[in-house]
Amino acid sequence: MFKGLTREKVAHLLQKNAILIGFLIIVVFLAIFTKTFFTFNNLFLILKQVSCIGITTVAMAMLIIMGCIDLSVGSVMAVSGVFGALMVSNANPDWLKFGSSFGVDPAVIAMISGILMGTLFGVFNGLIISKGKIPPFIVTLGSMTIARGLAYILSQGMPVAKLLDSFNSIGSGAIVLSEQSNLQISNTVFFYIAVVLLIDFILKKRRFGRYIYAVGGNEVAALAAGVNVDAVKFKAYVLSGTLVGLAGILSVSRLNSAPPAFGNAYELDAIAGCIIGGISFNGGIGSVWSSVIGALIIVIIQQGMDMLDVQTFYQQIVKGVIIISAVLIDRNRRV
Amino acid sequence: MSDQIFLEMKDIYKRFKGVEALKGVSFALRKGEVHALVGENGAGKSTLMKILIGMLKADSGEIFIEGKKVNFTSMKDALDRGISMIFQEFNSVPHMTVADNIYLGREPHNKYKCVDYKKMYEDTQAVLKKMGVDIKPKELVASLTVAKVQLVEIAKAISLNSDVIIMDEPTSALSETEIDNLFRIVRELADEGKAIVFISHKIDEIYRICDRITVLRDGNFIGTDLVKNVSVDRLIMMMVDRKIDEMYPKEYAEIGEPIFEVRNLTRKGEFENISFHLRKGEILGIAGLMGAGRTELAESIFGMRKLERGEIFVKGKKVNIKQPKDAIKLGIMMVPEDRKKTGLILKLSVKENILLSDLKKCMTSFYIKKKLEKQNVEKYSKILEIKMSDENQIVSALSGGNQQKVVVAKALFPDPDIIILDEPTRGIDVKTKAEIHALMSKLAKQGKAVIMISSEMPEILGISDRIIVLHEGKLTGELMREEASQEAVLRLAMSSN
Repeated sequence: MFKGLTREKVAHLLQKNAILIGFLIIVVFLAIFTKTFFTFNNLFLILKQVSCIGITTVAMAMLIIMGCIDLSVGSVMAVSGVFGALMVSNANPDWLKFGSSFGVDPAVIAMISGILMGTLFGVFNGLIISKGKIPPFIVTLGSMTIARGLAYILSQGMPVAKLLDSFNSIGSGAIVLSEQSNLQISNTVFFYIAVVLLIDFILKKRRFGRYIYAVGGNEVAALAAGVNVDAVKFKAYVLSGTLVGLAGILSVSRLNSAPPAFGNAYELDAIAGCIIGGISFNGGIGSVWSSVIGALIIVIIQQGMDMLDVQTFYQQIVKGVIIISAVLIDRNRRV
Repeated sequence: MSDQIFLEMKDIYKRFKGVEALKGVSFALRKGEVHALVGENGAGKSTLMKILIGMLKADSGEIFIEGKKVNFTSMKDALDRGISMIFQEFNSVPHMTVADNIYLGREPHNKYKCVDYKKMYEDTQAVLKKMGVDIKPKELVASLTVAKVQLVEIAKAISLNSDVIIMDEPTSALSETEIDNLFRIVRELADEGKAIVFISHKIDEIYRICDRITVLRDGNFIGTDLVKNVSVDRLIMMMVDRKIDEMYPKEYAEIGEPIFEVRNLTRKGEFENISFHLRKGEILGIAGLMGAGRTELAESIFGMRKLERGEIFVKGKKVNIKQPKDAIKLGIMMVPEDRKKTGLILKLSVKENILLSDLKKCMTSFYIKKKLEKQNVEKYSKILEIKMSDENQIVSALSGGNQQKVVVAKALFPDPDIIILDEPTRGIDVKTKAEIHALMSKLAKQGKAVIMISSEMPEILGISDRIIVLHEGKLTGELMREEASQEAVLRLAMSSN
């Protein structure tokens, strides 16, 4: 089996999978030096923690592969969560009345309105970027503040609280695997897995997915090959907005409250997740799985440092160092 | 040309990831000579030169300058020893001025330690004047034509006062007059005692300007000799190890009914009132000098630029093309001039590039099927004889000729009726060139209509059934194959009436 595995080839394999190997080293390190890290309980806890930001990171991955960016994801998560929460808040009778007026459980209406709020911002970003030909960085910088402002206006500056139990149970609920050892998988994890599989399928198997790589790789060449670049960009932003809306409303349902300030700087975590996972910031290279690994690394390191009693201030520095070193490793891999 | 050897590369070896790119190549330069370095794409010319300028490191072998061994670890090392190279893909900063670019990294200072713009502009002006070119030091490089950007690169090498100037296909983007001008400059530089390395695929140019010639083939050193001692036939034999009887294998196809017509196409400042038609089985050559508006015209037909005025008819029906997607649907496909910028997505694989133009063909109702992808790539890489490790190989790792074949494969994949090829053989080796020429004839025979834009006169004359000529955006004439000659085309390309 090891025949033909020359030193050169091993070096090449190591380089190619450097990020995955780094990830495994961190895991092994934590497994040895903490008692609680390598348990099923903790594994499912990590998955639960990664799921909401993970969905946003998947959306970001799609855009970065396309050579674009979205700075508004954190704020859009907030406004989606706030808007959805209003439909199920006992503290806001007027909205609750509206949410209950459809003849279905208002929790469903809350989910849908939260997701649609995300879609709406996706449409807004997508239209201006593709038709207005304004760089995504600038457009989404603008929509970032717009979304945040809207979140504060809708919530009147206060967390939207007293949410219906049926709504809370969506995000807080879990499938219990074992009663005694309190082993359970959070519902949000299933949403995350579904999103990852769906977007992975789209990127690999649908024409739209292939076009995302083409636009990110070389926009002019994609155009010349008959790709409707504007339409691809628009669709990608709408899809990404929708996913971010889902992430927002799920987070709120997990928190049982919708503070308008939540999701602050999540865009940075999402971008960092993509970069750490090995997605090229220049576009054209990467996959959904890269974003999964990246998001996991961020959460695991945070959690690991908590377990090792590292102060939060130091945690920030470590996170920054990891982002930069991940890109350094990646650069060496490509050169 | 002096008798003394100025620079010598001895027994150079270089491997890339297990592939031997150079197998013991030697190369010697004398002062005052123009030395042609030839070989097919992938023969190792670029690798050898990149080692000379310190961009790559040889695995073994030595370099001597005036008998002394040198060891370049960076491009700056080589530059400091008087060796500069003008790349095929220019290394200029578009949004800086000509003078800024020429003096980039070595801007002159005045006594306040600030950049001495006055001196910079004056010196640049002097160099440009000496070259006899009409470029102003304060012009932005972005506003220059491709030909002029190249001249700026040459000006840079001159201004660096290098002893050795390596030119990688310097004429591929130049018009006849510009080539004449360049050759005059090259000759002057050689007469001043500089050594010029001239990498070219154009055999006539080698005989026109070069004193000596070195041939490489598959990383092997084949030979060095005086150009006058080597016949064209022998040169081609040395390069490809086989005879190419016919560079322009023109086959006569039956010319059928008109399939495509344009009327009064106009984009102010680029081209005006262009009308022509095209028949099935016909190859229409579009000739003209650089800046005549040929590429702009083609790109406008294909929907990459917006037409200001004019009508396009496909199979007798007036059509509205807003973007290339619409053109492809109508059966029009284009092989763009610049394969790196417009033709290919270099980061992606051969498969992804070829199939991009008509992914539908690889789909079931719901998803892209790997098997269909493989079948299609195999079919087209076979037609074009693309050399690759497998369909997942990244395009940037292919040689120039093979890259161009990928672009052509992508253009053929949607099975178009009308194919526009813009400089389809620029910068590719002799063998691939002949293959692409043969392919064009084959396409015409299948009843497809072909438009070919080319700046190479033999190509235009050798391949076209009919030639239209553009001059400064205006159509100045049309010639049938029988009446076309180099002089006739040139006359139309240079005059405005």
